[in-house]
Amino acid sequence: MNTALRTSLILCFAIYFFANLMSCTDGRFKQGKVLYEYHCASCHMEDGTGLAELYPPVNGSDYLMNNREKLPYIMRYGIEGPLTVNGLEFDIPMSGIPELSAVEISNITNYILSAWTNKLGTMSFEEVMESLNSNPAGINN
Amino acid sequence: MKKLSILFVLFSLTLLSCQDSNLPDKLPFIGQHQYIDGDTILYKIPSFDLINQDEESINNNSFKDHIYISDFFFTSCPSICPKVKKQMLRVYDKYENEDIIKMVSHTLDPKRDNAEILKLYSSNLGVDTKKWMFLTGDKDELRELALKYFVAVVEDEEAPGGLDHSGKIVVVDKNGHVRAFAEGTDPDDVTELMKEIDILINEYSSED
Ligand code: HEC
Repeated sequence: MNTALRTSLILCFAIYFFANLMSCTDGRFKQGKVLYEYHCASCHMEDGTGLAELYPPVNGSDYLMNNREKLPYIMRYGIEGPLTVNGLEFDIPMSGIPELSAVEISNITNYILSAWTNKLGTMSFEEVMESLNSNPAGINN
Repeated sequence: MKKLSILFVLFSLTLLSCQDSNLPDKLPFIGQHQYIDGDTILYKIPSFDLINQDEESINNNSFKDHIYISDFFFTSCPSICPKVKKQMLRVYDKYENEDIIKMVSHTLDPKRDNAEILKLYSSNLGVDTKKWMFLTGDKDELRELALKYFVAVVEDEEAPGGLDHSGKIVVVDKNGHVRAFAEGTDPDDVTELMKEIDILINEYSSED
């Protein structure tokens, strides 16, 4: 094979590889991102930072870090009562969003767990179902 | 040919410099002005009579020495209000020490949002109510007034919170004239708005 052809082939592969990689990170949890922006961002903001002592952050939230398993449950059933997140006190109830299906909740969960500065791993569909079927201690409805 | 391209480059450069100085030194007057017998009557926010978070009565006169920045919301609003508030908070942070600027949020749900609820909201938002006031009052008056600030309000069972409305942030000068506005859900638009607010502050500081 002549060198020109070889280099261009290698280049092509390199480009193909990078393009795939890019779209991969982009496409991961895409549905979760769209659903988050539609159902949650109005209060928790697109960048997950929340608003003062009205709406708690879900980006870098110590509450979420310590209560990962409650996230699916909170989406479906809401959460109320005083809540401390990153040293700030919140006490406005959040209503659940009953129209979200378990699959949609699973996608939003996995989007949030790794979005922005969050590095909270992933959650399997079984774990999501477990959360939805439980009443995690500390959430009173 | 070479000369032509040099000319072209020079011409483009003048375009650039033009754009730079394009920021106006005065803001326009916005709204439906009236023209009567050759006189122009500039659009103005009509008179209102409301109460603030401390149950003090507030009317147009309360702002005669200030530029004020206004929005409409309600505390239980699950849709666009928190996003607009986040942008209002950016404006607040920038002009916190600029005495000529005041900020005013009007509720569209006065039945629920009484003075007490608004006071709690302002303290959760962490703002000084001397600078940023929260107003409530008669429901119909508030709805009418919203229209005067170019905020559309539609009662809608289907809408989140039962009320559909737009999130305009409006800038009003000392005489009650509307001088600028932005879509409060759009951070870039609000960045532009703050440049316009700077221009308006300048208009007044070069007066005295
Ligand atoms: C109408 C506003 C609103 C919407 C929409 C909303 N939340 Fe909340 N959320 C709140 C409030 C207020 C709290 C604090 C509740 C309390 O004080 O008990 C909260 C608390 C939380 C918490 C626990 C505290 C924290 O920040 O770590 C999580 C997690 C959460 N919400 C996730 C979501 C997700 C995911 C969605 C979208 C499916 C969503 N929320 C939609 C207002 C909202």
